Amino acid sequence: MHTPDLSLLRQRQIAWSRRTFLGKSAQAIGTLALGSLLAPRLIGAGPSTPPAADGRWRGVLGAPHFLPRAKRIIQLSMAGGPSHMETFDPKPRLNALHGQPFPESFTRGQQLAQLQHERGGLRARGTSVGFTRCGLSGQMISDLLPYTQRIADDLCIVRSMHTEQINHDPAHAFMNAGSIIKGRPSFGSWILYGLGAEADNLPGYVVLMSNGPGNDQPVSARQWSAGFLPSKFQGVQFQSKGTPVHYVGNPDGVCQSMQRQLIDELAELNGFCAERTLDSEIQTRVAQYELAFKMQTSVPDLADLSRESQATLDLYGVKQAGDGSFASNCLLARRMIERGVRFVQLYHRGWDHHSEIDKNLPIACRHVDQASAALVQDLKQRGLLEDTLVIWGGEFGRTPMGQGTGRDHHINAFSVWMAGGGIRPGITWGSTDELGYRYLEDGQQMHVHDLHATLLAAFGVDHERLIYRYQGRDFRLTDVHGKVARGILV
Amino acid sequence: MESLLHFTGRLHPVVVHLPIGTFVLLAVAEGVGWLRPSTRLTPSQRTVVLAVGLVSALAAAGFGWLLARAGDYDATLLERHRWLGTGFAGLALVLFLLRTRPRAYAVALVTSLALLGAAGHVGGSLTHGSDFLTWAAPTSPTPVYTAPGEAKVFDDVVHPILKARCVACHGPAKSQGDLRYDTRDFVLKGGKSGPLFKPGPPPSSLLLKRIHLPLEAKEHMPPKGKPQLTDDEVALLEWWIDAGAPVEGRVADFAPSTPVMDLVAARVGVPPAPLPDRAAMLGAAVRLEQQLGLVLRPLSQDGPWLAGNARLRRPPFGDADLAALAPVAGALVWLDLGETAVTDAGLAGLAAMKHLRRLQLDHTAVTGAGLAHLAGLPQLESLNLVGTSLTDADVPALARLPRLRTLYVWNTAVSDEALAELARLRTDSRKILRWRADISDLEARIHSETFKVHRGAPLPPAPVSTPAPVPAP
Repeated sequence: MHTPDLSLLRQRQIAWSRRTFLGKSAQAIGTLALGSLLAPRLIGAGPSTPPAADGRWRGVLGAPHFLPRAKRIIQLSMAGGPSHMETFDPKPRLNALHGQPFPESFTRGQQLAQLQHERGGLRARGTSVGFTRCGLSGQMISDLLPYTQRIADDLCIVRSMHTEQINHDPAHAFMNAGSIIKGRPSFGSWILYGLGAEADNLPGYVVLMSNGPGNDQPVSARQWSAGFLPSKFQGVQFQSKGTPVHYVGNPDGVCQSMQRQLIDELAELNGFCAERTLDSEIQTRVAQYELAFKMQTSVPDLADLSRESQATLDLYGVKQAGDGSFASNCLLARRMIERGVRFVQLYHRGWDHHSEIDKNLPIACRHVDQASAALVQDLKQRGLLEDTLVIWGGEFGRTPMGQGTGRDHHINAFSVWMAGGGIRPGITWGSTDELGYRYLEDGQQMHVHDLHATLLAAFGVDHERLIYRYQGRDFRLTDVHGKVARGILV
Repeated sequence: MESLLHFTGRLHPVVVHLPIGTFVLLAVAEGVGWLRPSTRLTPSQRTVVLAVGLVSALAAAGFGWLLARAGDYDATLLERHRWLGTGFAGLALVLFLLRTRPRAYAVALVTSLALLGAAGHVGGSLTHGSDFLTWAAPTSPTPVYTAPGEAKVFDDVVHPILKARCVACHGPAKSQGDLRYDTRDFVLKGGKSGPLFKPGPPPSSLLLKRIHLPLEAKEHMPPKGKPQLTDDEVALLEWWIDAGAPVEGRVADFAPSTPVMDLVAARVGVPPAPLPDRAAMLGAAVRLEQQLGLVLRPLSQDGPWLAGNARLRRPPFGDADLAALAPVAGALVWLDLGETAVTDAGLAGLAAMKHLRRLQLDHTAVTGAGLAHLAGLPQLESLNLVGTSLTDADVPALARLPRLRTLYVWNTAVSDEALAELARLRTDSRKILRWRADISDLEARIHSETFKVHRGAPLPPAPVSTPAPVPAP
């Protein structure tokens, strides 16, 4: 994964030339001080604020560009791609057209994943799923999501999402990193790089996974990679079953003070190495040893759900704490947020409904509905929703055309919802055409880049000014794209 | 015909500046020629300039007479302007005829310029109001107060807005709709469409209604194209009407909210309280973060504002730690003290946090007694008291926090009744009533403006009758 980094090379050259200079001219101590004072300024990609004495990373920006509304984010990633026509985007015209040939004017020349070989041509697939107008805001939400219906007034539903990637892995990569090219940092890594995290005894970016009943598409670890950013900013996957981190306890015969001694000794040795070679990965290693030591106490505390009341467990629908279910993960996510984790990403695999959608989609909805709504409700009653942004959605949508008994992948339209963290509640943003095939360009369309720009804006970050220079080129999460949807920010 | 004449009359302000410019230029050219004979105008040049000036002066005067028929102007000023203007047009003709006799021409030119100045000034007073020129003069004294609350509510805050935006058309020179804003009595009297405000409940105000209409609406005030009220000015007028449109008394007597007080302060020239120094606050924050072990970071890249999070500190953050935050108290905007060991006594340290907007005290030993220290927090918007021993008795005190918008009381003993009462106290029902009144009135207006078709009931068929036989000759 680690590729040569030109900016590091430059840092090294500067460091070496300084050393050479000092070695050859037996200058006084003052020059040494001057040299080290000047050096950080010469290093272009380095942090703009000097790291404090405690070694904590406070973010390259030092502070958000403008006043933030969100401090933390929980992403409920519905891996597989939920159908928008059965969840948040009712399409009566499509239902009326059920079974008839899909109008060619919509699909001519368009990219299809598996449907290009569909026998008998493309046919419209309606749905019998009902929708209800919910809450004071009157948002339309599927009857398959009865718990989500109850929090309608807290949600901003975006119906005009669209992406560029039609297969799962690249589409996840696009949702995470705004690019399918390997080595690009994910959203969580960018946030940590830019702003740091408040917790120093847990990773700033944690990933949890849960599964539906089926044999679903895997989600690879590259999705939470830090890419070309120093690897201390990458996501850390916790086990959702049993203890979140394996072997976190000390082996027999090793006590905590001995462990502390070991870590300090290692840090010193690594420090020697860091003096010789300027490599950010050495710092990462030192930081990870330290973090792991702290996690020996923080992780058992995090995973100890025994202090959660029965009422809370029932709210989420947790049958058994730490059973690896989506509900248990949601509860863990809230506990992480409370402990200063910046970004929690929950993947739930179980939405890839190529066939038997009428049977399997309701199951997927049942698996996530209660816990998703409970998470929003619980954060709200604890006063955490004010600065915690929750986002729910898949990596793409599904076709309004049938694929046997299911629906195929679809990039031109899908729906997500967001709540809290400076997102305007109780509104529906953007829309699709009458058959749910394509987003409308009504000024409320939301490309993945636009979503990233908007989420960063909620954190007070200008997406055009969070930049990392790598191999001679400036990189952004949104590359050269992205438009902030101001209308959904409070 | 009448409307055509009226329309033509409106060309007066367009044309009137032509003779002014022409004659001033002529005077300057003649003056320079008198000092330096080599640059003197030739007779033919003078004739051309005089002809242009004469024709435009006659046209302006003619249009002026037509415009005067439309009325709506102060009669005295109008008559004065009419005869000064007409006199000038006549003098322009005399000047034209005397152009070959230098001495008489010089006398006539000086006289006509004096007449031109007088006519122009009176004309300006007619359209812009008689105090237009002196209004912005630097000598106009503004009362200086040390606190915005001391300002006189009508004389210092409301009347200057009305004078600046409305008096040009509703004043001594021009009182459209029989409405004048130049004195207190006229404001109270209102105009042709009725008084500007009626006391409630609910209070309703024609003044605000006209201001709130969309810019395109015919009745929107000030009319499209004229300088509009700023949002701040509208906010002040709204507050004033809400307070019962008082013309006596000081601002502080009517309990304005903090934002209104800030607007008043900006208008009456009270300097705002100085902001904390960014560099000093950030320096102190880094030091305190190390020393106390809490997270204390700048909220954004500009301004001195800080966000503090003490929730994660182990051992728990206590009263002594909170007291140690004193150097940055003025810069804290968010403060999370949830799950800490702070107590009622320690909250005394919060009183200095005048810019605090969000405070989390959930799962602490804090009680109603400690919350008394929050009374002086003018900016506090969100307060988290989840899992504390808060009781119904402590709730009324919270109602007095001027900007509190969100309160978290999950897992406390507070009853629904107490919260309902709090919501009732904190919801600005007068404002809601006024919005409703405005909207219903708007609907009535829309109804009255809508084109309606009345076809009536179909008439019964006319009886068939045979024409009377024509008598034979």
